[in-house]
Amino acid sequence: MLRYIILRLVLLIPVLLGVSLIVFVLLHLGNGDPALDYLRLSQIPPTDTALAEARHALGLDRPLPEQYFTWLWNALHLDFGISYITGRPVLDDILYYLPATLQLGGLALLTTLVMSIPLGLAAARWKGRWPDQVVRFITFIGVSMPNFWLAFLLIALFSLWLGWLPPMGRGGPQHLLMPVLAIALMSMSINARLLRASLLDVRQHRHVFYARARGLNEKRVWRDHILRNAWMPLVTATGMHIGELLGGALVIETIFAWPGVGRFAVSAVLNRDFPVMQCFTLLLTTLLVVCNLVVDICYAWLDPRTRLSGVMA
Amino acid sequence: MKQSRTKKQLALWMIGACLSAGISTAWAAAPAPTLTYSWPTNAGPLDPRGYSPNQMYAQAMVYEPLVRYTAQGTLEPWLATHWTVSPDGKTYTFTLRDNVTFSDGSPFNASAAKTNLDAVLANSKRHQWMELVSTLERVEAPDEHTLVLVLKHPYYPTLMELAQVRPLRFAAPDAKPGTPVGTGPWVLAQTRRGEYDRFDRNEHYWGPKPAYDSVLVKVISDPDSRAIALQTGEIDLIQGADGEISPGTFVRLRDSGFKAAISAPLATRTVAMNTGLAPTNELAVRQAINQAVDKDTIIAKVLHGQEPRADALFASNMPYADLGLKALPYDPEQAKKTLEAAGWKVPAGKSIREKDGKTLSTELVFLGPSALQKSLAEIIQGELAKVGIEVKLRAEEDGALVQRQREGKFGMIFADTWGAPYDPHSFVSSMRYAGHADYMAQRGLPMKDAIDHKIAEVLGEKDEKKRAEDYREILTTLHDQAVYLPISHLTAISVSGKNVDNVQFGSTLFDVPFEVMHPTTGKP
Repeated sequence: MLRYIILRLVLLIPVLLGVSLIVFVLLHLGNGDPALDYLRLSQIPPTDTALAEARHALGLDRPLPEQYFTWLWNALHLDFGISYITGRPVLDDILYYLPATLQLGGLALLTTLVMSIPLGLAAARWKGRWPDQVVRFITFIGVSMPNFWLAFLLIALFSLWLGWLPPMGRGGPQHLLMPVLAIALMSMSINARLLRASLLDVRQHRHVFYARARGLNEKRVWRDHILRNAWMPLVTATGMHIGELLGGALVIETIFAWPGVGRFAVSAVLNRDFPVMQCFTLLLTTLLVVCNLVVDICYAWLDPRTRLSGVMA
Repeated sequence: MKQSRTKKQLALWMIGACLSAGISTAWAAAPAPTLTYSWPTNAGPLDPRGYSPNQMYAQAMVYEPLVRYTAQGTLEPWLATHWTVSPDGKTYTFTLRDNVTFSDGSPFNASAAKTNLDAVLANSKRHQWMELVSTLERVEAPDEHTLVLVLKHPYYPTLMELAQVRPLRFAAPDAKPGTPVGTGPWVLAQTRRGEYDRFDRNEHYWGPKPAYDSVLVKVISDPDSRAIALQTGEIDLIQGADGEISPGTFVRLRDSGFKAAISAPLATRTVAMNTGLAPTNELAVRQAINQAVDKDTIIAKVLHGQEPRADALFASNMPYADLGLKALPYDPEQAKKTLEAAGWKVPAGKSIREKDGKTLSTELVFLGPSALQKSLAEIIQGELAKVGIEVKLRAEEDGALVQRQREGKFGMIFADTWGAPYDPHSFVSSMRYAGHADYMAQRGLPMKDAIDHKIAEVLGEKDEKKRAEDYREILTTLHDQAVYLPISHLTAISVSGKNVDNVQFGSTLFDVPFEVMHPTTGKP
């Protein structure tokens, strides 16, 4: 198991190298010029001399391979360069904004798990009756509604009409409710439906029938024989939701003026802040790879078949 | 059993929601003599000579110029109370205001001013986009209250450029590096990255003291979020000229009882036409385009009446631009006649005009992410189709659009003027350089060389009357040649809650005069 984990972490290195090269090439192939963006943000008329000066100041006048390898060499020393837009070290900015995003994303993940399991359980347990109908209605809305739209609806209801919750900013728990819900609802709905379907499927399995035949009480049948087998797909789905939740944070942070790395990255994309985009992509890649690894480990821990089949030996 | 657990959870969730609602109400009700405003990013380190990420509205709060640009396009004394220009137009002598100190208490005098201007000259490459910097030979400080600027050659917009927000304003020479210390009415007191910047009143300010103790500028990048912030009292004021909120939102907020205002014209929203590329190289085509677009309807429907109609490249409140130039009136029938006369006929069974086997088709480049430009482009496309001109729309991103402007890769392209205080002198000056939308648009004109020559002449012209004549000639020629399709004049908008009084506009695109605003209740 340990060997497997180490191997996966070692594999992260070529993945990051590949991602950094692809992102670098794509950024420089794209239309537009960061120096022009810099001048636009600086309100400097883009004359030829001003443009040449800006390119020089940003290091964009050097040959592309040189730019990449310089960047790579510095990145290996954890120096991701200076942001074109903020003028500060990129890593410093990203690490400054990251905790706010992790707080939002982490809570959204927690909400997804905490809410989807009881919802899925209730729907499966009382299939076809009112709890099922209610859950199916909520999850239908949840999977159909884009998160930014939900965010604006929540703001309209809780901030504009009722005046209960602050519409933006970071502060107490009251600032977290709406953004977390906006990010989490879709994943939560998907998970709840998945769990419901999986529970209903496992419920039909023969081992459940035999468990009941053995005279086990209903609680134990559900806990040890249905639920234990039914939440495997949930683990896989949750792994995939982590990416979704982080992606959701990008949009939601901008709407709620949440001082996180997502909003920072969005403005970097809009202004072609290459160093920030490169560092941010690497950060996301690492996060996703590590999260997937954690999911795989969870899977092995939950399902002895995976462990014993030697796949992970 | 399960049911009760689910119930408990639900109850907990609801209690949590109610509790936090209570907290939020208490939190929103804290009154303070603070004006809350918003901006898409933090103010930046506020180096008086720094560009992005230093925000100009904030630099204008902290640093002051020798002379100040007014909304009427004139200049008024500011840190200099008086100035004279030598007969050869090369020496400017300023008398500095008495009793001005920086916010740290150190005196503002000629030597402090010279230190600042010398720092610009020492780094002139960075600032050479401003013609004055490359024209300035040296700065002298003969006594405490006299500052002398010696130029290499006469340059009439010297005072205009001294009025700009950067780089020719003044910071305390002995301030700790990285601490912004200016003479302005505000001092940057606190910055929280991604959250807000707080400016406190400068207690050493030489002018009238601002009514607010501080200005809190929250970082809000989304226009809809900004509108919500105003509606929920998170901010007191929305003001700016850079799409702070959409025109539709402006109207909605105004109609729902907020105080709303529109500034005098600050710049012009135009479409430049490429005179070096068929078919816009023909005067008749350019004129027909000007006749075929119904600007009044565009302004009413798309801009919600927020911008006045533009008849010429510059608004009449810009210096030297009150020339009474009239736009070709909206008249699609006349446009068709103009095209017919130029040989562009509609072949039987077709709707696009042709001449010598070529179709009358051009490409309009617009800023893709801008919903506003997209609607404008679509309307222009529709209007021109009615008179038989095909317009292909091409969406580009910000940087790519500027690149097309620079390279002349466009038939028609959105190209706003730079606005006060760059209009008209800096804008006109740039028309002479390849790599500019306007140069590229004008390069096909038979009299392009003469125009460029005239521009060089006007910038060095010492005689005010002659200068006005030169400008009349340049601007009238461009107008008659229909190089531009001026649509409307960009304005700044302002929306404020009932708790703010005396909301006024700055005189340029880049400043917000917080110092004249005051709270409605308990005003001094």
